Amino acid sequence: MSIQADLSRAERRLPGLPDRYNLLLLAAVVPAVLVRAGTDRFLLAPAGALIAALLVAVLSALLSNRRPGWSWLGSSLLFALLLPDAVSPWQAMAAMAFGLAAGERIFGTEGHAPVHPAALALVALSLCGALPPGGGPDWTASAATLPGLCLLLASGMLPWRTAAALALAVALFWSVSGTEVPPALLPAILLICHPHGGAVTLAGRVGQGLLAGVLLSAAAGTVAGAACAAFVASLFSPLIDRAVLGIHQMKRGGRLG
Amino acid sequence: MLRWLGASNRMPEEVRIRGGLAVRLEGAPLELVMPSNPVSEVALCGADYPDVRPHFLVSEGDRVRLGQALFADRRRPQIRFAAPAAGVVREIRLGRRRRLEAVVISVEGEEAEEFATGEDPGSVLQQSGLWTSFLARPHGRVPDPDARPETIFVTALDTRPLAPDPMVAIELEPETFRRGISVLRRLAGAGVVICHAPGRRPPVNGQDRIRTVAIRGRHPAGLPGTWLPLLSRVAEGQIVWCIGYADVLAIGHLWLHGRLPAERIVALAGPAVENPGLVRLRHGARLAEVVAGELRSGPVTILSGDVLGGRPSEYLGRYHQQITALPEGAEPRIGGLSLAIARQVPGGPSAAIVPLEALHRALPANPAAIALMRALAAGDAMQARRYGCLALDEEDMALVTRLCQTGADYGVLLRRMLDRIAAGEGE
Repeated sequence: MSIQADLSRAERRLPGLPDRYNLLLLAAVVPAVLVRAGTDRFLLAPAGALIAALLVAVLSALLSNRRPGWSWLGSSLLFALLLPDAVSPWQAMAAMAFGLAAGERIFGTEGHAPVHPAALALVALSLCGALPPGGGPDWTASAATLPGLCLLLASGMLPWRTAAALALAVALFWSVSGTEVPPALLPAILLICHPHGGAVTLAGRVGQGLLAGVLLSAAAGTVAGAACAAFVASLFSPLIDRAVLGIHQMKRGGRLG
Repeated sequence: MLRWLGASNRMPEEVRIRGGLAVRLEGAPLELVMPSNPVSEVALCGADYPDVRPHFLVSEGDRVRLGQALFADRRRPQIRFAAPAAGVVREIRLGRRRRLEAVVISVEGEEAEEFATGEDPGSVLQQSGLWTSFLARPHGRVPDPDARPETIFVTALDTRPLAPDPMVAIELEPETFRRGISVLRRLAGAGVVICHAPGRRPPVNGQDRIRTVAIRGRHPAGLPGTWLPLLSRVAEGQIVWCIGYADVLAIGHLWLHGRLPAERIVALAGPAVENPGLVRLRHGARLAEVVAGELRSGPVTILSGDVLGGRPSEYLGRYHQQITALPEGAEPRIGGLSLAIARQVPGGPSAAIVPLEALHRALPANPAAIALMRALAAGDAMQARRYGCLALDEEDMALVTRLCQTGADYGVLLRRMLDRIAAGEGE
């Protein structure tokens, strides 16, 4: 028996086209990257990151005899969007290559990665001291992600519970502290609410969002802070899920499912 | 949340299933039994018995009676598979590796096999072919002839799209239903639990070891895989048997009249049907004859079963209570606004499971729905078992298969996993 339920149904959508999630993600980040490239004239480092991601995707596809997919494009564009101006092109290329290879490709392909490749790449830059405290997208570029972000949330591709919990935690923190909301917040939502690497239970998504919101607020909304928040929240997601399922099992007298 | 309290006499009166999805499709059947077209051919389909290796007791050209054994299971010869109508065996169709595809009978006459029902109910059911009415969970297979369950769950509700209301058939023959339940009570140690829709309690007497539970919720609330984990420990390996209301009526008919019923009430529904309604059909009826003259013009897909879990078939399936006819390419509208928006976005098949919230609603009693899907896709028996795959059957995965953007058939993946677990993996 074939495991393909109805290929005519799945491939009735144009074959070769990105799947819905990646298409909407590109719809969110491409306008923002173009705005940023136009205003900041910040081209070399993002272009380098794109090329590095493409090379890693093609190489891993050849080695594993699979299609490269489209996730590398969304990840590299999101990385380029969040990258501060002061990062040199070779640093951007190395970080993106590492992030994609270690964050996604060694686990197989997209969907199996525990953390977002762009978040891992930014964390790697931060740990090497190559990520300056300031920089990143301005409000114009961030606002350009809004239509795509809204579509991702409205279509259910991005977990709204994670986004809502994140927004709540951030809003509470910043209402208390009185500091201004950083422009990197909107792209950071794409990073933190990554569906493939996040919690799989509904309550776990809320927990992940709250954790990421607290970490993001504690790091004052910087790009490095956003990357660390996404990275740590993703790493803790399985633990949060385990706790949720444990509580559920206790309520059901030891049964699950 | 509800606790399973052990014996069936401590069952809750109502279970509310949160989640579920609206499945919208035109052509709901009128709750009225209409005359149906005469059927000249019936068949037993091999797709209903995938793990059975048949040992044939008849040959092509033999004359058979309604209820006469056509073949037995080679591994469990006590389990017989009976002719759904009297007539002549026109064809025994075998597929790859001699797997049964269909035993086709040309309907002629009304002769029926008589059964003495004074003996052990198990042996009568096995000889009459009604033993296949039971599906044991975990694993969703026909139980062994020597096995006896602690609890038998009767599904007297149906939330599948365009499904007939079970109470129409039950209220037409209440005494038959009661007799069927009393036979089941003799088989089950702890008793019988009848699950029904709210406000649609079947007419059973308040006997010891018979309980009724109302199940409230949207599809797939009516599927056993949704409410069984709430009423039993099947996810941990406790063996329970499930049976549909139509088979309970058949068992009752056998005990009252000594022979199998010739027909059952089935829904003929869907957007391609001129006058959707209920019809009396022989088991295994040839669908082309049933729908002749009942369809609107244009290319049509005819399914045995519902639009989610049914299959294109020449004959009505053993466990199907409806025939769905829809224009070619038509799809049901599932879910609310978010899925409607997602459907408008073009895109190829996804390489990975996108964990939509709708997938959680498609397996509402399981908080680890996404984790279970990933375990099935990865072939991880231990994780799949941990996340509750033992409570499920292929029909429970139909909605998930429809919603997941990878295009994978989770029913097939679940069946492979259950077979591997049955063979000892994932302990």
